[in-house]
Amino acid sequence: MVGSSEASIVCTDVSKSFRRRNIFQSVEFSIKKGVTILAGENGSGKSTLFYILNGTMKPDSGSVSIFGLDPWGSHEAAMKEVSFMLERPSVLGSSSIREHIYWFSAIKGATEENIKDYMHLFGVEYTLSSSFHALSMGEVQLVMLSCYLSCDTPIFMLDEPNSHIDVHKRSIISEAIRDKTRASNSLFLVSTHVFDELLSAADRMLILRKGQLSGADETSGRRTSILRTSDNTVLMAQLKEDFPDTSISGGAIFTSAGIEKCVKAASENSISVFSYFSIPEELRSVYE
Amino acid sequence: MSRYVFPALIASDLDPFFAIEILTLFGVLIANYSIISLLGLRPGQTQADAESFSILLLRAAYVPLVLILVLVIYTMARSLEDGRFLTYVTFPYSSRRVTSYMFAYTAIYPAVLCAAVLTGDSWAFSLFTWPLVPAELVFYTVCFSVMFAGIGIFLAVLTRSSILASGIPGSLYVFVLPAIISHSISSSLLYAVAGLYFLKSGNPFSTTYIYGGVFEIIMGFVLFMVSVVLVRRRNLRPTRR
Repeated sequence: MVGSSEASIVCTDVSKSFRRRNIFQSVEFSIKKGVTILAGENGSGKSTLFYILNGTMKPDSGSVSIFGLDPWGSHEAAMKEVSFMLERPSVLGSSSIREHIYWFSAIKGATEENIKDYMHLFGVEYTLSSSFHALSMGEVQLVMLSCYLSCDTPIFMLDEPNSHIDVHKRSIISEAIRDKTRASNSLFLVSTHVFDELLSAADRMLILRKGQLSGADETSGRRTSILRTSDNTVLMAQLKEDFPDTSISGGAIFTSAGIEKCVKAASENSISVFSYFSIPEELRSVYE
Repeated sequence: MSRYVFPALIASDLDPFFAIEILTLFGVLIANYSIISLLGLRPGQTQADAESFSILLLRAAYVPLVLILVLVIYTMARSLEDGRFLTYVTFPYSSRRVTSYMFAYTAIYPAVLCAAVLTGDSWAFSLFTWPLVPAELVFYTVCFSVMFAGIGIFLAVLTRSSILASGIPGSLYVFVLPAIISHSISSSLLYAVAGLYFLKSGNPFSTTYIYGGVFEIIMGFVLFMVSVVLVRRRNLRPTRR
């Protein structure tokens, strides 16, 4: 983690629980400019942590600061420089997309041209004359992303921006986030449980697991392959000969072997591969 | 950004039923005029007659006023249910500010609409000859709206359910209270709870009703203040999507 003096977001010893369920405890991190991915399983507390960072929820203990201000105590001042996109942001005004864009740009200061440029990039410019009721969840999410990415703030918090989005569009989103970071030198804190695409844009990772937060300043570059096959046991035995770290967890094989080795081993043993994806090695512990 | 953008957005978001409200209220205006004319009722020549007559107008506007208040409270509570309120907070506006704007809109908008119609009535029936009469009509409408909005916003924050927040005060003031409270209210506190349905003809600005109206405003603002404190403690995540 970075030194807190140069960090824009500092989280110190934050704990949160709902009734008897402990969400997370003693979470500590500080982050600066660049893209930080907050990863974790469903229910790990990613959104709750976002709400605490955003000042819409009070932590049970600990403190949060954004540019040195407490977002709970001085919400409007602290969050002035932050664009926070909820997992499912609400439509403003009626259900017309044009009206939503009008209100959004009036309140957040984003220009309508910028929003339309992002809509063009994400391939949803054809929705401009539609109403939200006529769109799929993915299209709505892309319109919302277009709005938030058009903002001119130094900090962006995006809560699961990839949900409901097609696989090929997720890569475009990752690129857009990366480009925006480079162009405006801003800080992106992005939560996700969809690992593969967004991690290509990550400078740092925070991993929430079982109420604890761990982090990596830089990803090591090493990848772990995750496969679901018609015969995990046989394939694991095959891969383990060359890659001793191979294991089975949750019905999937985890190995440091690359895609070519995995496919070759599966092919030699006439095993069908149902799914394959690759994640940074640091995230392996989240799955296993 | 203009300082009026956010209040304008709140007004736009809280009022998807605009056409219904306008039609309802102008329906009341026309009905007042035609029915009272058909029955041969007239304001009369004295201020006391005009005062008695104005109570008929006020009682005719009572149910539409409650209906509009219920509709606005429903959309306000919906914003807490579906995450719209949370979206405002992320913009970022403090939950205190969002609640205040919502309360102000809920109290002012139906009161202004209803007061406009009653003023139209006053003009139609020449009640302006006695200036206290239209002033009284507006006073009681505003007091009742503030109290009703306070109850609505308190229930909305407490229950985070649009059905409960709008249904409880709506059914209370349309069905329950008129059924259980006698029409001879003499206590200002009882009037404050019961509302303007029970306003009886009498001298304009009768002490009982004036105190009752003031109590209504106080009650509305106390409930609003409690809501502001309460909303900071609530988890604003959507309960329904």
